[in-house]
Amino acid sequence: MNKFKGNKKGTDKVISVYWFAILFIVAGGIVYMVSAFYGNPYDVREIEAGLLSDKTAGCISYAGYLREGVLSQEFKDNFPERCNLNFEVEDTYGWKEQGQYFLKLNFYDFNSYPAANSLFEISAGNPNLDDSCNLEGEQMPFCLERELYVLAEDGKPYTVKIISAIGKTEKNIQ
Amino acid sequence: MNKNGQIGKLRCINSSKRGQIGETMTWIVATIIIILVLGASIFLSAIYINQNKKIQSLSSQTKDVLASKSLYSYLLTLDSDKKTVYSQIKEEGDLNEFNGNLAIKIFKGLYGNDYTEEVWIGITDPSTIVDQSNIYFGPRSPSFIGQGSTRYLFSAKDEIILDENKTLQLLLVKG
Repeated sequence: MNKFKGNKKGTDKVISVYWFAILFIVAGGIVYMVSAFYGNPYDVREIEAGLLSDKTAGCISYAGYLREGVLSQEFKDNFPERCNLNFEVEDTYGWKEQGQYFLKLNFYDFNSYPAANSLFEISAGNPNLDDSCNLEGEQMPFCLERELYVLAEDGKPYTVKIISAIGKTEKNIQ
Repeated sequence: MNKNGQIGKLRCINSSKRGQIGETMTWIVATIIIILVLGASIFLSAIYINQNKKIQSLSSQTKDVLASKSLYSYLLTLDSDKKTVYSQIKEEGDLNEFNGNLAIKIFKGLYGNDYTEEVWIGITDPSTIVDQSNIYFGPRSPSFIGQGSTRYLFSAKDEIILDENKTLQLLLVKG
């Protein structure tokens, strides 16, 4: 009888080892899932780039026509101020020195687009971001290329290509 | 101890061993099931996280600003007789060769890559549910009769009222 009791105790010990092992496995799994969900940041750069494109389109085009003076040197030189764009960023990860935004507008003759060269170009922000646009990889700036059909005051049609690039990889990608 | 007593004791030890093996097997199977369920949960949540951590559009957004602006410019474009596309469509009640081909060049050319599911522009009659069609963009997808669709990632709709029965509609749908 005593021998049987000893066996039962042995089984209980083996089961308790399993029990602890499973406890650790389940706890580890939960910790991994929670850290995977909350550890990765949300990548909102596509929305940011879209808003930048929309704001720029609203700045250069009104009621179907290009705003007065858009195709001028004065507008080109003061583009962010004229469109009320603020490229300031928080001073973390050295963002302030590098600049985290880039905007480029290329004006083409609509009838010869896309074969023809750009007739007029406006750009602002960090040009290094534009250079990284065609590169493959995870830790790369987000680039958005959109196009707009617009008429000049004299009725001449233009295609405007708006390229917006956002850096901020440190806070949007892990 | 007699012979019968010894046999009884051996049987008892045998059944106890069977019980131990049965219990261990139950735990091994349970462990495997727990590991599989946990692994599947981690795998599925990892896929879900990869898909959803990239926010591509605002759920409240129903218009494409650039396409809307292009639509206004399109309607103001003059033909060789100095007549706007808006006047042509309003008078003729449908797209003609000039404005139909221009619409293809603008909307399919500039927005076809962004909206892979559907790019459609044409005249619609809001009072009827009969599907609309034109020779330049073909039939409008049946899923867009009425108030938009939730089937697709993002759809943008622009409407210009021409008169009581006619509306110029631009539909852009991402796949």
